[in-house]
Amino acid sequence: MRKLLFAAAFVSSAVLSVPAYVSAASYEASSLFNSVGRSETVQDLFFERWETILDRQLYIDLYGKINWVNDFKVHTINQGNGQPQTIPMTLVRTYGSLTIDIPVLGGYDNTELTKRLNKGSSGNADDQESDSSGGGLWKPKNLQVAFTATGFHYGLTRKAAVDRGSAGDESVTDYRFTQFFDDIFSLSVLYMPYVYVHGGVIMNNQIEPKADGTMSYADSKNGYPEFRWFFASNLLSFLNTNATITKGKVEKMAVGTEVVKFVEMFTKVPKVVPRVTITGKQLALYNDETYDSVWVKSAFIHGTASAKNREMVDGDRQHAKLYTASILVSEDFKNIFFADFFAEYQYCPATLIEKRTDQKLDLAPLREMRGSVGCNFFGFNPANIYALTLTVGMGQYWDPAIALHRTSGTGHSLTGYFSSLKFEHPLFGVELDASYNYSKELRKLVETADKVAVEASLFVRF
Amino acid sequence: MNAKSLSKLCAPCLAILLAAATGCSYVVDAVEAQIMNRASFSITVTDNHNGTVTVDWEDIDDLDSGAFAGYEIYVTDTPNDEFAGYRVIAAEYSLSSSTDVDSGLHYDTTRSATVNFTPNSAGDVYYFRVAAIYWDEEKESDREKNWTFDKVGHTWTSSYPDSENRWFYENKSGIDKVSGGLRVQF
Repeated sequence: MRKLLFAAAFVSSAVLSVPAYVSAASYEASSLFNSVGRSETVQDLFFERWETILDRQLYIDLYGKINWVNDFKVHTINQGNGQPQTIPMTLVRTYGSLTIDIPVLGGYDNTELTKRLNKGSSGNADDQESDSSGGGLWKPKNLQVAFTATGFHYGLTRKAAVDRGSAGDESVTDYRFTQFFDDIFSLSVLYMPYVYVHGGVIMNNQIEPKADGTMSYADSKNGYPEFRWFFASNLLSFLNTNATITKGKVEKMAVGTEVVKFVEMFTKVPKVVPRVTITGKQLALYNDETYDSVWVKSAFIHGTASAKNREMVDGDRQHAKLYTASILVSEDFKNIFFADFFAEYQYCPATLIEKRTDQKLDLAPLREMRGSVGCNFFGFNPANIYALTLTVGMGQYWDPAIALHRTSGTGHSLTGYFSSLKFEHPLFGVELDASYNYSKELRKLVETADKVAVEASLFVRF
Repeated sequence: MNAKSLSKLCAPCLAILLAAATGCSYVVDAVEAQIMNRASFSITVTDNHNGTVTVDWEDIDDLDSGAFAGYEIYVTDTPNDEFAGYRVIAAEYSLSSSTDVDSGLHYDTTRSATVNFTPNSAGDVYYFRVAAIYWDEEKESDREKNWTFDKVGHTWTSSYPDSENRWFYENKSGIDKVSGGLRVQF
């Protein structure tokens, strides 16, 4: 019964592998070990939740998702006989987020619960039928203080069958190989609508399970957990900045502008105008790590004829930044029809050498492009507090590691699709997604290339 | 809000505070591990060199005595294979022709059992596990209310050993906590 309650609270995804052919290649971790990429992923999820929190004026937001990706074939040694063997394992991804947000001065618009929790309630709450989304920008609303804990766990597990005789068959699982835990702890101060800041720490931890498949959260690997400082801000609702700092260096910096919000400072903008966000980012992504799919500048240690290898000292590792520019256009027509389009361009000034081929790798200018459309079937009646939204979309993603992880075809780019069905009540909701090579999923974990995912999640908010 | 309502809020409030203090990644991992029967405690196995092995296990965190149905001991059904499936070799009831019946496994306070086991050959490697079995209905009151003859065709009894209790053990119980797989070379 307890397991059913847990399962109801955090619904899993079963992933069917759809290989075009049986691949002899086994799993090799790439993005899984990249703490820079994982930190970016957990920040993206942090910002996704905060978008909802601000839009719906929440005091508490609790969100959880569990995802299983099967058919990761891993080369390992069978400790029973000392022989190498390829074993199918499961990649587990779990995500949780908790935010407590308290207006310490002033309050939220709308004291009536369902009105406050409605989508867009933080906007012109008094006149939701108006075509104008402006007005009120210079009138202070409130001062909020918030705490957020957001975390992501990745790791491989292996299933073992158990025959209980006349009591039936069951299965148990063990942790296998390094487990990754990435957590953000953030304090936020919001003086709405003028400015808000989030500041805190990102904790990246790696834990090695014991030989028997058990694990203790206290058994971090040497040198872990690592900490990164995290800062994000929004000014006058239109200017977003965020940065991550580790070991005294800026690892990531991003600046974004919400164009419509900027224009609204000077004139009223009809609500039908799409929301446009332009973002520039600098990310210290390539660091000659063992798990990276590329070497930076050369496959040889600088000034020597020695090939770069996993044993080389940190001083021999070379680094390269990735620069990106992106545009996000999103439209919400009266909470009935939705559409969005995202494109991101990339540039790396350093030469990258693909480990798989030992050849120079030219980055494709277009890193990601995706679009989606959706319809809220309950939105035709504005008085309806429920929403049932069907969304479909497709996307393309380019990554150096795609050529390594794909099980069919060649090249560093994959095109994929997704669909989702979301049911929402103001206080809770459930969402079911199905995707195949969708760019947002590949961006989080390129190891999911050529795998179909069905995923569901649950949220509770107040 | 009365005292009873307040006490019911304690568990979710504590869970929220726990998530906030320790990190959501660990909390959701613990939830997923619970759903998927993740190995959560360790055991030791001693070869007694007389056709038996003694299996000892540590205290199990959060063991629910009210839901506890018994312990079972498993071994890999194929020697020299870490990734083989497991079969039951000891339980409080005879679940198979090769199961040792050990009444001590009925009690949640038990931490050790000696089991008949002979490897195929000297030098063979086997893996052992211990599981704590829970009733599907974790509260005794729910078992008395829902496991009646008119609902399930049998009448619940906690009396051990009893043929009705055995039926429920075989049909209405499952693994709730399991140990890691311990490698033993004979």
